[in-house]
Amino acid sequence: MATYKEIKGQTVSSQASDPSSAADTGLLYYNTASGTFKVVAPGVGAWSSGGGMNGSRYGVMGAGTVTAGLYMGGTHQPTDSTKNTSETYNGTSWSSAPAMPGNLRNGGSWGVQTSAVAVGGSTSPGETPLGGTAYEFDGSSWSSGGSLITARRGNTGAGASSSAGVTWGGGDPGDYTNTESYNGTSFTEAGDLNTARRNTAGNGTQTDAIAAGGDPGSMDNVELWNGTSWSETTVLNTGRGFGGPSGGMGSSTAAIVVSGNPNNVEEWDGTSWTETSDLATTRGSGHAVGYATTSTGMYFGGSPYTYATYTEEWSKPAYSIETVTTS
Amino acid sequence: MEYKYCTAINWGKNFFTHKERRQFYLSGHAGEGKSCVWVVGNNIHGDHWISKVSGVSKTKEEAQAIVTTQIEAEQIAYDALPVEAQAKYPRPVEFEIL
Repeated sequence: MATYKEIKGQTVSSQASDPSSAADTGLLYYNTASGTFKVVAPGVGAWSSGGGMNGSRYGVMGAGTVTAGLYMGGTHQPTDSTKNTSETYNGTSWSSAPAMPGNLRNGGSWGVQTSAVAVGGSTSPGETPLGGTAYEFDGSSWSSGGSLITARRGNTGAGASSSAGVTWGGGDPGDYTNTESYNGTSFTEAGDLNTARRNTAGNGTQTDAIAAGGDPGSMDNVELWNGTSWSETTVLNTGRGFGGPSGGMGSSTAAIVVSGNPNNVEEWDGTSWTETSDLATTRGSGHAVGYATTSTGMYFGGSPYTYATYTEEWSKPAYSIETVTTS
Repeated sequence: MEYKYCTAINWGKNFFTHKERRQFYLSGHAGEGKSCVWVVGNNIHGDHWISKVSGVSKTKEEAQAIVTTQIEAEQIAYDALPVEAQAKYPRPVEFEIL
């Protein structure tokens, strides 16, 4: 049998404490303090339960991070009424925040808790009228901003703030390829999606975003946005529609698409998609946030009714220390 | 037996943790009121979690019956919606737990 040194070119080292860097991933060592062999393993993501939303929401929009999050609008279940309410999340619980100027659901959204936008979608329980006016949040109050050139529902958004965002897709009637860029004042036509669709999972910034899956027909297409144009890339393992936009978080180089129908979770590393840990309570048409990162994030709202207030928090450490056992 | 079954109300933060999700299988399904049916991996960590959340143990058949009843109630509610409201999301479908 080959020895560890013959395979790795070095002996197993003895260390008084565990390594503290992802650069050591793959390292096997003997921890003299615990008297055990350990290995630095790649981090594995998982979902945990977060605080419940005070209002149940389907087709909800959102922005921010897992420790400073924001949701706005959506459809209240089971009354099927479109809402203008918003709540903020502090990493533990949701608190009421000021209401948007109007009702909105299934629209695009982006930004952070103190600088966010919701636009598009529908303003009433029916599919029309469509929401064309951007609603902007500054952390304490909402105001009306610019209007979409093409009003639509089922559009998805990405962006870092209320003055730098982009929204794409959606429809009604039909499905759109239209992409529009927002500067805090007005929308400008930008490069179209290659494939018309609505309800994509997506996130990122105004110049670096991803659009994955969507409706109609539970699509598997994925496109990357570079600020100017969309390019097709590797398709999802499982095509899916989300029943609403933005079941994703991340960027063009690292992203996660969350739930939908079917309801597994896939992770994007910039090259390929890999199945990863599922939500404990699977659903569609909730909203995922995790601005420009896949190491932390959260998913909230969605259906069926039972789960419409649930929040789950995503965490993927860069590495983990595992004790070597024999069995 | 690969799984255990229980009902419990998700209280929010730390009802289940990242560590617990890595230690055993867990999935939640529609239950009565605020309670969910939970399918729990059958190991010592899963047992500890059921105890932590004061889960009420069920047989698989009992758990499935709760889920089916809830889904059927949601189907009735869905069927009562106006057509335009139904167009916004799919009709709940029967689901078999693991």
